[in-house]
Amino acid sequence: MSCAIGYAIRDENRPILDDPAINAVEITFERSDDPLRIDRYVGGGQFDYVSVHALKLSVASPEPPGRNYLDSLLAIAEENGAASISDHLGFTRDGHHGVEIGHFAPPPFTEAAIDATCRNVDIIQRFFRHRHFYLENIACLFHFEGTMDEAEFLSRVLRKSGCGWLLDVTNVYANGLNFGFSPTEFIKAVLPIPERVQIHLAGGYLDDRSGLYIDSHSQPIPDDVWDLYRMSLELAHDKIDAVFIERDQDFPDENGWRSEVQMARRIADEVELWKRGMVT
Amino acid sequence: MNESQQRDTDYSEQLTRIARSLAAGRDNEVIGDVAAGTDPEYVQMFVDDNVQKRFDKIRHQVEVIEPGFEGLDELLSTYMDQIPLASYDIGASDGDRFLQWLEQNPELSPEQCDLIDCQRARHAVEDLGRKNRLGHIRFQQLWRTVDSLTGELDSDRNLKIHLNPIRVWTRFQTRLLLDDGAVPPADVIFFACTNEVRTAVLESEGKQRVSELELFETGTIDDWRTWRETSDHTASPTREDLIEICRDLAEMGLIAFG
Repeated sequence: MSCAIGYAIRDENRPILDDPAINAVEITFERSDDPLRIDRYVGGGQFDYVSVHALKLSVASPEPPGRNYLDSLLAIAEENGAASISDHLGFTRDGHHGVEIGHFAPPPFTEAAIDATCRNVDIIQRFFRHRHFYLENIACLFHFEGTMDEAEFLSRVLRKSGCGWLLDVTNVYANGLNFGFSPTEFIKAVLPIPERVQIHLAGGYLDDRSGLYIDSHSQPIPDDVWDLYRMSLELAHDKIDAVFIERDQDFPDENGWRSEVQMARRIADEVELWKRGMVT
Repeated sequence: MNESQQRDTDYSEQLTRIARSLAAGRDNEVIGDVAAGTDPEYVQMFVDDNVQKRFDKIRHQVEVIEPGFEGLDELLSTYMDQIPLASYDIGASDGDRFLQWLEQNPELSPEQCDLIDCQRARHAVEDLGRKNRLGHIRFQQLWRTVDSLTGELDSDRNLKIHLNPIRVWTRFQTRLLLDDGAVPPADVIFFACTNEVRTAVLESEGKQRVSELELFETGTIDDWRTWRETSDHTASPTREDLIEICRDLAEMGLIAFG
């Protein structure tokens, strides 16, 4: 069997979570905040792998994440049997736990940001102990002035902190288009560093007005992203723990939900056979 | 301060400044921080998207008050201009802050106040559920058996009464949100039932019994009667009367037995 594969849970895909191609789910923490819910967020399904995906740890902030937020993440992880926690390599708030931007922004790619991020990741990893922590590369519309490029910044954070990489293939693809670098080279440069990897797949659109690729999670996964996904599996399939597809808008019909996760499974199985030398 | 400490301090000041500007929608203040060659429009797109998401989220969190507030969208925009999103915004905290902000207007009508109180009570129930998740789940598990256990109240003197821990009282000053027959001002209890928020306007005896149970906590009906006599020094209702009240409260979802 290849790596664990499934969806980030949305109300719209719950009916197909028993698809045989699915043996993993991701809980998007902010969406799981349904305080009067009685049953587990993952429902009655049995999954080989559950991960909690956070949005507000703000790992690149100068100050560590708040204890209440960490406790809330741990509670949902424990209740749902999650093996891992993830969040984004960015910042969402100011340095004094005062105001929130609303969405994560990229930090300046500097030495100071590496130090601050790794200090916070260390605190997070100590807090979650045996649950692995993964940092996701984000899609962004702009970067702040820095002293290195994104690939170097991410590589150094992963190397220094020792945490896992949540490789969002679509975010690499989007940033490659928007900032003019090769997504293939980016993945090849970073993928050897982390010991553990998760993967995100999604689809966005090219905004005619700005000329930017917008990572909207509203469209089918593009062929180029599927190709990058296959390449990533070929390069590092033995350390990829799980693959999650994200969709947040313009939801597909049942066939659409099933076909994408089945495609993700088929590619992973093909790479697995190829790695074992059973397919040339 | 050594070089490393100075670098950390500078970084902290830079990120705090950037975060506060972006949170306030003042994207022009960070143009000097973005990488050379960046189109300022891209920063504005980022800020506008965040503002729209925040607006949509609050709008959803205060939908109860919509019928009573013309120009709600404009009020919300003014609030967002004045009050940035707080860190670790969880649940309906931003929506509730908007309602508190609205409450500062001395010209609100009594009906508008009732709508705000209703929405805030719903938020408060959800917040209690979040803070006391174990208590909520335990009570709802007990309540699943309430139909069968209610029938045993006459014969089983060991059954203990458990009051729903996820409950909030508020008072409506007008008829706007009250059922026919209820007279304002009316005390309304908001409580969790399964995964929903329910409301009830209790008659005076029911209200008194719930208030007693809030002090009494957990015990049998006989314990309750004894406790009443000790604390109030007044004659208790008969056991049969209390059983009847318990049946009504259990049917609503306010108490369970175990």
